[in-house]
Amino acid sequence: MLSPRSILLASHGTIGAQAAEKIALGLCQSDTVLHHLIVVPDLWRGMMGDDWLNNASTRDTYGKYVEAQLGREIEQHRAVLEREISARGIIFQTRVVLGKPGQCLIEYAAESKADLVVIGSPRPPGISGLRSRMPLEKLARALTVPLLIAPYPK
Amino acid sequence: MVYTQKTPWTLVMGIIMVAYAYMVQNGMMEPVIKFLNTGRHAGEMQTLGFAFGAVAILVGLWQVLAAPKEGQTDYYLSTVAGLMFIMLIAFIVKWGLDPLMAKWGREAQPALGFNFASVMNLNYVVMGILAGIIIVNVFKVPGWAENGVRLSRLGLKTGVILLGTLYSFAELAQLGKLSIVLIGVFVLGSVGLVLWIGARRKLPNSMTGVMSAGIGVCGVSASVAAAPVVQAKSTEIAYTIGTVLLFGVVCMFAFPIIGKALGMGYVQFGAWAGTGILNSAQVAGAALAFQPGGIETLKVAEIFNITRVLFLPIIVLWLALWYVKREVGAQQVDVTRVIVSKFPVFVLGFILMFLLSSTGIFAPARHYQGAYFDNSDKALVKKDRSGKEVNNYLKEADVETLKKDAEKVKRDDQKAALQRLIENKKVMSEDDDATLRGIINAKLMSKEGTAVLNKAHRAIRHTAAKIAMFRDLIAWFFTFGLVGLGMQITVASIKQAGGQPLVIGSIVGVIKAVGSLIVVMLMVSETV
Amino acid sequence: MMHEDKFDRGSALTIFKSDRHEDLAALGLSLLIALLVYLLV
Repeated sequence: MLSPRSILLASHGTIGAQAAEKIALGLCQSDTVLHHLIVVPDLWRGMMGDDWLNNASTRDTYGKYVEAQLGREIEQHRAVLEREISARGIIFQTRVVLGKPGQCLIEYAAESKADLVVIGSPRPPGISGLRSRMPLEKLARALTVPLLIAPYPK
Repeated sequence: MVYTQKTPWTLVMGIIMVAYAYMVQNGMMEPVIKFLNTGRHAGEMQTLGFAFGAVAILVGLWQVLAAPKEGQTDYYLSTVAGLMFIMLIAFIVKWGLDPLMAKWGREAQPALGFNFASVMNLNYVVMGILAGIIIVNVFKVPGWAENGVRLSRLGLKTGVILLGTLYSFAELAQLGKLSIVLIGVFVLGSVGLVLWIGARRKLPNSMTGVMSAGIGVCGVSASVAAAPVVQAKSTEIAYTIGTVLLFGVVCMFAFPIIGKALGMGYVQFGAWAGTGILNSAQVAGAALAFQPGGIETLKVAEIFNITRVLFLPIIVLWLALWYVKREVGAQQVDVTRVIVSKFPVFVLGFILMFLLSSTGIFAPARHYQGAYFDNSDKALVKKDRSGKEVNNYLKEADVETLKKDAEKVKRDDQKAALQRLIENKKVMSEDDDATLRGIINAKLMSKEGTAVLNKAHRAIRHTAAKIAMFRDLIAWFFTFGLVGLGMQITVASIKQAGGQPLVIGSIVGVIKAVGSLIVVMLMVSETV
Repeated sequence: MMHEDKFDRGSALTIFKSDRHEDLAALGLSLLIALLVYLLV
C-alpha cells in the first residue's frame, strides 16, 4: 500500500471532492504533510459583467462581494476539513489560486513536491454544479507523481 | 508594476496600417477595391489608416526602445497596443471580410437559392463580434493586447454619448414614451414573473433575486448590481450569468435573422431588440447587425437601452426591499444611496450632447434628423468621386411618369405641389416636400410614380456634413466596442448556464422576446 | 483574488478605477470629438 509522506489534495467541497478528502485523510500518517489546493476557476473572470451599462461603483461592490462570497465558501469548507485533521496531528497547508484547475494542479504538484495527488472523480451527468473539469488525460500525462482518483460516492 | 510590454507588434501593426493607407492613396489597391467594390470606403481607409498607423508607430517605437517607468504614462500608453489590435481587426473585417462575404453571398445565390450573407447577417458588426469571440476562445488575447481590450467599454459609452447628437426633440419624446411603456411592462413584468415562479418552486430567495434582475432588466449588469443586495451564493451567480450570456449570444444572432424574415422596419426592430434582448451590449450588436449601413435602428434601440438602465436603480431597490422583507438579518437598505450609486452618469452625457446638438451648431437650422432642405443648383448638381457630373433634377421620362399618375391625386394641395414639381423638375419648398411625402405614404400612385417622388425627395434632402461625420464616428466606436466585447465572451462562463436559472431564464426570456415581438408588430409603426 | 496584481486599477473590463471615472472619460472624449467635428468638418 502507498505510504506517501506528502499528499496533494485538490478539492472544492463538492460531493466528489469530499470522497477524495476521505481517502486522502485515510492515507495520512501522523507526520504526513497534506497540501490542500483550492482552485477558484478562472471562468469567474468572464463573470465580472461583460456589460457596459454598469453603474457607478456597482461593479466594484460586486467584485468585492464575489471575492468575499467565494472566500466565505472556501473558509467554511476549509474549516470542516481542518477540524478532522487537527485531531490527528497531520501537517496541513491550504493554498487558494485563481486559474484553470488542471493547470494549477500540475503547477502546485511540482511546487509542493507531493508524492501523491488525490482528486475526486468527475461529477456524473445529471447533477448540477459548476462546469469546470480537470482534464484527466492532460493530468495523467503531465504529473510526475501517482494520481489517485476517488470514486464518486453512490 | 510596469504595464508596457516590450513587443514589436504595435510597431508592426502601425506599419501595416500606414502601408495600406499609402497603397490606397497611390491607387495600388485599386484592383482589390474594385474587386470588393469598396470604393466608398477609400477615403476613410486613408484617414484612419494614416492616423492610427502613425500613433501605433510612435507608441510602438517607444515601447521597443524606451525603458518605461511605473506611472500614469506607462499605464495609459500600455493600452495603445490592444487598441490597435482591435482597430486592425475592425479594419480587416469592415474593408475586407464584409465586402467579400457580400460578394460570395451574391455569387452563391443562384446555387443556394438564397443570399447566405444577407440571410445570416454576415456583415462587419456580426463578424467583428465573432472575430473577438474566436480570438479569446481559440487563440487567447495576446498578453500585450490585454490592457487595451479593457478600453472597449469606453468605446461603447462614447458611442452612446455621441449618439445624442442625432436626435430631434420630437423623436426623443416619441421614442422615450414608447420605450417607457414597453420597458415598463416587459421589464417589471418579467422581474415579477421570475419572483413569482421562484416563490412557487420554493427556490432560495438569493437565487430568485439575482435571477430576476438578470433576466428582467439588462442581463449581466443587473445581476452584478443585484448579487450583493440579495447575498447570492457563488454558484447562483455563475448559473445566472452563464444563462444570461448564453441567451444574449443566441439573441444577438437570432434577432436580426428573425427581424429580416418578418420584414420589420427600423423602429420596430429597434424597439423589439431593446425590449427583448437581455444584455445591453448585445442590443447594440443586434441593432447594428440588422442595419449595418445606417444607424436608425441603433438610435431606436439605444433609447430603449437607456430607458432600461434608468429602470435599474428601481429594480435594485425593489429587490432590496423584497429581500429585506423575506430574509431575517438582511442589511437594511438606504434608498438614496442605492439610487445615487446606481445612477448611470453617461446618460447625462448623452442628454448633454443632445442639448448641444439641438442648439443647431452641428447642422443648418431647421434640420430634422440631421437632414435639411436645399433645392439650389449647387445642391442638385454635384460631382462624384471620379469627377463625373451628377444631375439630380428629374429627367423627362420621370416627368412623364408623374403626369400619367397625376389624376390619381385628388386633394388640391397635393395636386398643386405635384404640378409645381412637374414644372420645375425639382421640389420647390419644404412644405411641398411634406405634401409630396404624404402622396408617397398614402401610396396613391403606381410603383413607378412613387419611385420618382422618392427620387425627387432625396435630391433636395441633404445630410449635414457634421451629422454625417458623427454617424460614421458612432458606427466606428460601436464597432470598436463590440469587437472588444466579443473578446470578453468566454465559452467557460457561458458553459455555467445551468440549474434552475437556465430553466426559468429560458421560459421567461422566451416569453419576453415573443411577447414584445407581438406587441411591437401590432402597435409600433414606422413613423418616428 | 479577483483583482489580480496586473490590474493596478479597474478590472479585466475597464482601465478606470470605477465606472464613474469611465463615464466621465467617455464624456470628455465625446466633447473633444464634438469640438473637433465642429471645427474641422
